[in-house]
Amino acid sequence: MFSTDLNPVTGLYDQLPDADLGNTFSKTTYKISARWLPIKELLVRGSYGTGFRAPAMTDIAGALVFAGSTTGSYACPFPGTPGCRPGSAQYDLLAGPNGLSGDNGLKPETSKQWTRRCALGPDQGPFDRRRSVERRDQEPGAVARHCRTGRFPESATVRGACSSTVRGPCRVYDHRVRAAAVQRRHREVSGHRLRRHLLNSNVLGRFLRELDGHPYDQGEVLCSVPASRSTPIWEVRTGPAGRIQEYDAADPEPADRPVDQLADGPLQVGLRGCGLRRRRDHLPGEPGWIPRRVGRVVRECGVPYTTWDWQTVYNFNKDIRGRSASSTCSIATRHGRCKPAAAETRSATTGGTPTRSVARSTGESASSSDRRVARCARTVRRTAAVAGPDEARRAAIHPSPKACWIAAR
Amino acid sequence: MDRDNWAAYAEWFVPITKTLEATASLRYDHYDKTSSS
Repeated sequence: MFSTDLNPVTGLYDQLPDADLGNTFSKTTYKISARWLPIKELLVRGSYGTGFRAPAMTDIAGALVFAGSTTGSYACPFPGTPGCRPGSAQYDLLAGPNGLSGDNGLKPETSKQWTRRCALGPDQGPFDRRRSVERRDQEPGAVARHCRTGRFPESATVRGACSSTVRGPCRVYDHRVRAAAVQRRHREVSGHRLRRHLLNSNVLGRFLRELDGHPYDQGEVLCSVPASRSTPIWEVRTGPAGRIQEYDAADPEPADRPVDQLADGPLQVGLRGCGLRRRRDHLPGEPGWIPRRVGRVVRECGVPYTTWDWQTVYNFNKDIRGRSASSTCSIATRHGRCKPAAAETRSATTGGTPTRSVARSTGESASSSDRRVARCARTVRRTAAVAGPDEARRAAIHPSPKACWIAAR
Repeated sequence: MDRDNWAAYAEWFVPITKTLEATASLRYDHYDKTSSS
């Protein structure tokens, strides 16, 4: 604001000095609230708090009224009074609506608030979904326990944990194999759970080696989600690559599939991430199905053995790192046209070293290449008689396939 | 007229049990001098 009188010296309108109206204050307020969910359907919440309302400017000072007029500009009518400085003509602290102007003039209105609420409904939900998911995920061993037992009583928990980018739900897996004879000519090993962090131990190879000593000529390895169909992980099946398409959505569950419909050949492994999609959405051959060849099941009457592409298996195990790999695997085998292994014939594998496992007969010299070639040749001939030369060539998985093939011819 | 004010706020979340949680908050307001210019 400027004075209405010209400065006789400068000939200008001087700016009037600020009017310090005082009115400084501080106020501390607080609020306490609580939420209680005694049962899932009942939510009780309440709060208590304090507040205040700062006075408006018109509560502090009123417009200058001088001689009944509020127009124009006036000098402080009572110079020297608190808040009234000579030349300050904007507000009249003394005549304003707040009779206690100045430092005593700014008094906030205070208040106290109580809120109480009680909600009754089907599901009041968790307190806070973000906190709830974290809290449930942090329950000691809860998720891992679900994975071990194969039971997911609360699918939302699994889904929430699965969708987490930090970690999957199944970090710890039991490694156990339960063998049970399903039928006289069939044998099944199930309950095998993968231990995802065992990268170099080749869980698949170990799994199949559980069958060593149990003659079979056809086999199927199946790893699937044990309980929840909404959290598919991955599957392993045998069968030639061209036949994998037979596994479509119209097929019965793998467990119901007659074993004799299976064929030996490269293992097809599909990786499927943990998610909300149903298992049926990712059957082999369907979008989302990523087959991986990890090895072969080679049949030889009475002497079953497996040959693995260990690097591929390693990569496979590496691939399932970071994924939710809670799976229960089962393998069903059948020895069809061949009789069970003779007493003097059994299989042996190469331990845990990453080399190809080789079937050997105790009646033979394990280091005898001639014996191996001869045996291989028999296998090739037998396979060729059944499935043709192409199948035989494909079945000739042998430490020395070239020699075997030459011998077979 | 000018009036300066500032405030500070703090809040504590206290999960007491799995079914009970509490929140406490505190706010400090300061109103500085009012001046007429």
